Amino acid sequence: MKKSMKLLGTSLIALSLVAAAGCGSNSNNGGNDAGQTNSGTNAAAGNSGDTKAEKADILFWTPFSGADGEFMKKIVEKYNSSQDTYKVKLVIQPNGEYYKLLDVALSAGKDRPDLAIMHVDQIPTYVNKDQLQPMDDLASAAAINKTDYVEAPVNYETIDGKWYGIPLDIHPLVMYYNKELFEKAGITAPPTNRAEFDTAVEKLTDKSKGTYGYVVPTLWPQQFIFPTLVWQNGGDLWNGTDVAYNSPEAVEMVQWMRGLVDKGVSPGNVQQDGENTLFLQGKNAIQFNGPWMKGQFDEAGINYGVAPVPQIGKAKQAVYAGSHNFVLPKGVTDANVVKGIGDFLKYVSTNSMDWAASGQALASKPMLESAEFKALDMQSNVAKSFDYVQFAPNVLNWGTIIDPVWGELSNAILGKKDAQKAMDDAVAKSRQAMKK
Amino acid sequence: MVKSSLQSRLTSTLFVLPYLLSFCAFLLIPILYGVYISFHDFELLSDSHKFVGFDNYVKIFTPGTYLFDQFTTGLWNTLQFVLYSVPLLVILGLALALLLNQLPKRIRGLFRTFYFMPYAISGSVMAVIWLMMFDTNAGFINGFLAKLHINPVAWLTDLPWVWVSLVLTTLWWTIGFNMIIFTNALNEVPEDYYEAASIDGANAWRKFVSITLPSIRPVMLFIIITSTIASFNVYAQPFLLTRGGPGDSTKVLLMNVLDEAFKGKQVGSASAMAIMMAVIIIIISAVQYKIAYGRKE
Amino acid sequence: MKKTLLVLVAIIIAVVFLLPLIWMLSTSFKNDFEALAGQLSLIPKKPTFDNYLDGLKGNLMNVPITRWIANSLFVGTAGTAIVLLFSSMAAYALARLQDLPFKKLMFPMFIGSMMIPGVLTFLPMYLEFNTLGWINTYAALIFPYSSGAFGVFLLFQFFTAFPKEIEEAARIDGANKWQIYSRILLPASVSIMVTLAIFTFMGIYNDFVWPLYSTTSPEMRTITAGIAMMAQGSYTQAYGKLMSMTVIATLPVFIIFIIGQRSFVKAITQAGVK
Repeated sequence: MKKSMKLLGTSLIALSLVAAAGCGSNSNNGGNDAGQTNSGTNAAAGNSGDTKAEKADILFWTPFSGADGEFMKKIVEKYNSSQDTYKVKLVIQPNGEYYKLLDVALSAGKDRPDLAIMHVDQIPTYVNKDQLQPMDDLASAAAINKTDYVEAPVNYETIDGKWYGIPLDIHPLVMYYNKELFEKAGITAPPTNRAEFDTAVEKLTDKSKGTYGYVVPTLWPQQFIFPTLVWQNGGDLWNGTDVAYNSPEAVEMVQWMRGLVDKGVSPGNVQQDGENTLFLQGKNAIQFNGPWMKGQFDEAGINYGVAPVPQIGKAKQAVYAGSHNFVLPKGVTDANVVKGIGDFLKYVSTNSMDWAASGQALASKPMLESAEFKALDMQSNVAKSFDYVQFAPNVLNWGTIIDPVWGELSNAILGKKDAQKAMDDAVAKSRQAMKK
Repeated sequence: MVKSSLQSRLTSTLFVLPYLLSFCAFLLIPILYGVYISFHDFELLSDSHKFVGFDNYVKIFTPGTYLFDQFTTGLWNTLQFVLYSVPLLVILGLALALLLNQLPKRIRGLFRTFYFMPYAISGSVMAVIWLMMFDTNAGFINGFLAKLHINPVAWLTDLPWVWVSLVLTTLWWTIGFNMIIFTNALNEVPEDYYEAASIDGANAWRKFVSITLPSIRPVMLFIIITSTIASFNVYAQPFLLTRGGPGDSTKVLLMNVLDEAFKGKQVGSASAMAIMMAVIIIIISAVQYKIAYGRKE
Repeated sequence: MKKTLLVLVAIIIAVVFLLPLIWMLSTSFKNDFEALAGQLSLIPKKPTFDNYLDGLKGNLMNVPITRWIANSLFVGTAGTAIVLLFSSMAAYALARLQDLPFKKLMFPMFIGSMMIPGVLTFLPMYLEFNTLGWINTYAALIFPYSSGAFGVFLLFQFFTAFPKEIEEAARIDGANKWQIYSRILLPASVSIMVTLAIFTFMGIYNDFVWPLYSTTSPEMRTITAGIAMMAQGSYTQAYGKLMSMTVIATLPVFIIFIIGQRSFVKAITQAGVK
């Protein structure tokens, strides 16, 4: 018995030693990076009175886990080699987990980013939670001018007179069309309004070949399409006090989308990514999607064109957009780090052609007006819609509030519910989400 | 048996100790902390987390509230999935294991590997593969059906096909797990039981019912319980394949809990939902346990 | 005749199971154009190794995929070793040692913990590791898995079914608890222990959510976390690259399974106790 206990004891001790040794050395390894940045910033903080620029590391978080990550990497690498005072450390987090990871990092305080990319419509929420710092001082110190950026995102992220985000790009919904199918159908120019669009898609549909004029998605990217159509038709998602997507203007657009299915211009029962699959196979002539799809279409070797989304609604031209912005998390106080961020952002504002190459249209006016940018066919086409881009309503918890719409909208497009009923149901659910 | 001395009880305890410590450190403490969170208005990004008592729980059980709807519709969809998938996971898992045991020894390992392989695939890749297979207008399965002159099926957008697709995908992805455990259990049944039965002239079915099934009962129970837990926690399949659609008819409970925690940033009420979910799973498992062992004792 | 029929059934089922995987393999050799547009063809028209080479050279995600695989293998092996030892000892005590104190309390507590959805413990666990300063260490990638009750439950069910006579015989021969555990129960359970090892290894190896949160630097990531990142880049559907990385990532698991399954044999006769 004694022997067995000894054996057990020693094996346990041995195990814990191995484990401890393993972890110890590892945490040293892992800890080193963090330790260096910390001690670096601490030391620097002590000397913040110095006018001489101190070296500093800048931890920069982005959600660019797709092909776009490569382009941001290029910009960061070029910046790092352009000077040796500041070192930007690029961290690419998976797109789908980005805000969860960011929330956790911000709340834990450790390893939180010094600089982060944030979508424009997220900024008010994070400002409301007191997680971001105004960037006015940083901008003026680095000679970054508000007027050098497209107004829409700047206005959106100016809250109580303070500027909370510096725009990198704007990505509105755009229209992609298959040039070969257009040619075959004898259509010379991309449609710009509803009448042109309706005739075009009828012509482009060829049942015998299984090609469709416009395959209506039932899920993503309806998050971009539905708001665009509602605004174009004079409706609203939010009327200032309440959700408004069961208005006649909104319902009419839902009916219009379902109508395309009824007319046979689009197949029914389109699943997640189904419209894109058909587009890639040359069986879907038109697709509304974001600028980020460009790379994929290029690689697939499709002969496609890009144009602004036509004005389908009866009231005005409008388009839903997103925008990537640089934000400064609360707690980044080290003067050198802040100065370094300013330096980097100033650099980006005039050296972001690499980002445009990813398919994005830039938000910096000097870049937009440069000959280099104008030479980019697609991106400059995308930028044409910047005058009338709109972002998600500036309402706290908007993502949770509007969430019921996507399920009900798919019900309506799939023909499982009448459009009015579906939107009424969505509004009822959204109101419940607001009350909670 | 001799009465157990203190020393004996101590050595017995030592066997559990390593696991117990790790259980406390990495499971019990987080669970208790999770329970603590469920009693608070816990927003990840706020500095103050107000104590709200049972408020989060009360809301889950008050009809007409947002949480009530999220919880009940999610629960109903999850229960449907459990109901459709668990019997198949158990019965087909056992059937595959039995089939393997009947195959010639030389090819047994090969086929076991084939059936197990999908289990090694990660969820995101599983979804990519099956989105392609199930695509209504360009997918493999509908293409195959067309050759047989069968009309296309809306696998991922139409009831009841969405459930069929989700269950099929789950079977493909995870049944290898149950099959392997059943294989182990079948191997533990002593050969001489069967030999004795053969001498008594029992046929294959008789042997299965009176020898195999009783011998593997503990393992069967294990599989039923773990399959139920796994099906209750279903997430990747509906999240990636149907996005909860059509409408929200396949939006399962875990999707709603995660939305509440991360989209809504309400970790407190999400924790309360997770705890209620656990309570329901525990009750169901206890019933399963009682049914399996209740008769015996 | 009956055998042939069974083999035929087995083959048909195998085709159903393998077809999606063959498609995955073939896609990994397709260039992006073909992977996207020629979706369902099983044979690549212009086979290419570029997808594999890009990944191995580190062109895809800043970090050579080999580093991620090494991380995954290390974390998976260490975690599996701990789980096997801890679970088998605990399961032995719970199933076989009558004088274990608080048995009636511990067992339901362990099993009950399996029913708690991970979403409840996820954030507390993160905060705990953050307090310990273990974020971005291998400890964070290994230890959380050691607390899972799955192995205890699985082995408990098997140890319970183990014939009492063999243990009694050993005890009469003067064997103590440790000897019964290590010389009788463990050798008789090779098959289920290997099964548990395979599942545990795969569970750790395939988990990507926790590694994503508990590591902060790219060098600490595991391969599945890396793949999840690729798959989640909603900005691209690079199926060829995604599939090639998946093939690389699943190879170790397959190899382990193929080696391990040799032990899936009649355990009781093999233990030589009869």
